[in-house]
Amino acid sequence: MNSDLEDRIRDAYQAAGRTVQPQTLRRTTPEVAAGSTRRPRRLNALIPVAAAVAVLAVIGASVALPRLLTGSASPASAAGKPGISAHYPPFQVIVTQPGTHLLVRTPAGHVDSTLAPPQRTTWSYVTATANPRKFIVATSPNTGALWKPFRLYTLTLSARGAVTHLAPLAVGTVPVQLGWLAADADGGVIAFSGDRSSGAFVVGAVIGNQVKQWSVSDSEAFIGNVSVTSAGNKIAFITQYNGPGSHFAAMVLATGSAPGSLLTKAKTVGSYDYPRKFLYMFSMAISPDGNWVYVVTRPILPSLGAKLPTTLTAYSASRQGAPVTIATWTGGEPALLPIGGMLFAWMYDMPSSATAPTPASTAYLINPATRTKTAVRLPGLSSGQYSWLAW
Amino acid sequence: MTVPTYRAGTGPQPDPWPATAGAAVDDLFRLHAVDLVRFALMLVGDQSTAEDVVQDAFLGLYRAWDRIRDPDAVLGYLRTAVVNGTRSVHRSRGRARLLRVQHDPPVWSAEAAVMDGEDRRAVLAAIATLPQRQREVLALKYYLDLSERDVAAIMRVSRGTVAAASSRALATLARRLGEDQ
Repeated sequence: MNSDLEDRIRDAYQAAGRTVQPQTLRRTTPEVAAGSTRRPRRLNALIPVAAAVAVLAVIGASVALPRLLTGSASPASAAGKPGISAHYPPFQVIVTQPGTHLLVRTPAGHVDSTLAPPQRTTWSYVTATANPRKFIVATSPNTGALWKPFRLYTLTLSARGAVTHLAPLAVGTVPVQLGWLAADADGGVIAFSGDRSSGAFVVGAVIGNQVKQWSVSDSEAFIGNVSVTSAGNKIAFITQYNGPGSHFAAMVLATGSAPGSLLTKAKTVGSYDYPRKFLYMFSMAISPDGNWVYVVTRPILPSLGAKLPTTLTAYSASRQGAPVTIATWTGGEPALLPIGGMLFAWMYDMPSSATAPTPASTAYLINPATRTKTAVRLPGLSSGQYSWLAW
Repeated sequence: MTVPTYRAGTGPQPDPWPATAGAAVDDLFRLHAVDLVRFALMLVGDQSTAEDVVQDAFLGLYRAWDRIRDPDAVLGYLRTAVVNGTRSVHRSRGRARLLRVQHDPPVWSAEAAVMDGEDRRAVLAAIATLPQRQREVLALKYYLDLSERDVAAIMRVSRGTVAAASSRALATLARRLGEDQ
């Protein structure tokens, strides 16, 4: 009897499967989607794979820069335009793909030292502090597992760029698969986002030997990159809600709030519903004083590498006044980092292959006060790819 | 199973592992999206939601790309992601029902009018009444024709669990379909 039933099940499944034809898919290839003007009904379908992949690549390839200045980046103030060189710290620390090397180099591209990861681990992330010779680096186990926890270290450099110290933080292994990392001025508060083995997304903070976490289920929202104030008292992050009423939001969370539900504890400083704004919110930074949250948006288009209009908008963290457009440009998908009162938008260019040299990339040093931007070229890598970069 | 050699860009790639995660995931999308949407359709009922689930699975693949060492594991990863994605859909639908959100009718419903065959629709409608895990087992086993070992690997459960779920599902279906006919 079961054999007959099994045949009926197979037949029914095959008939149902035939109702899906490649030409009926909203998007079967990037090329097909690029030629389509049809807008899918729901958010997830709205993001073609290539476009979303590009976005994730940029969010993932987040740059972190030390906070050399402490002033507010208020777009309403009238600060003058500082010289770019004043914002160049002496060293960049780079995690290369696939996390087997950490490079210390000058902004001109000279590599001062390289460092292998601790045994049975790979480097996964690096972020900067206000001290240009102190960085926070993360490792994860060098296994084939799809989900891996992370561990944090303090990396200290000499005046000549040599690694003088690599010390694990007392907090030990954090049972979260790391998404993004950001440190406050002295490295005393390290904010992170990621996902638990259960699939829930978390925003967290390592404070001394304690870990605080605020979570949201993966079916409710996706959490993007995090940014933290100089004092470590506020963490900003991007979220993309799922389900009915889908929207993108930039949110701010008080580090002092009790652990619990992320979306309950954090407050929204800027958001929009995706059908009304056909934009992807993919990069964000909070000003060092926590008064402003800067968000980079880009139209949702399906082609990797397309020249897309990009907009940088400032939202008041206290939700006062309308959002302010700070800068627009075409092309590139920047990671966004505050450098004191300035913002650094880095457009990472993928190399042509895993073994090809990484090309030089373009960045903009943006003054939110004057709404001016200056193009900067960052040297590429002769071999290997950027995974993470911190200044 | 073997994932074919991918080509990124226009020239031949000697490296079977593609140049960039973006190119690789796009290639994989072209290769597997339709089949995965069909598979997801068995679990969620409508093509639109199935496409959403599959898109999410590919995004997840991209995020995990640098942690994937075995090309042969990619399709299994995607199938697992689709299964997990459909579970999220059902959780969301539970909430959405409270908000009276309407979803597309399942393809096997008369309302959808896209499938022929009364018996086929009856079988799929009966399957739709089964618990989620039993439906997953049936779709993996009878639509994708996977062995119980492969089904267990994708669902991250033991083979015994798969066998038990399959057995219970078939018993329930036999009873219900027998009563219906």
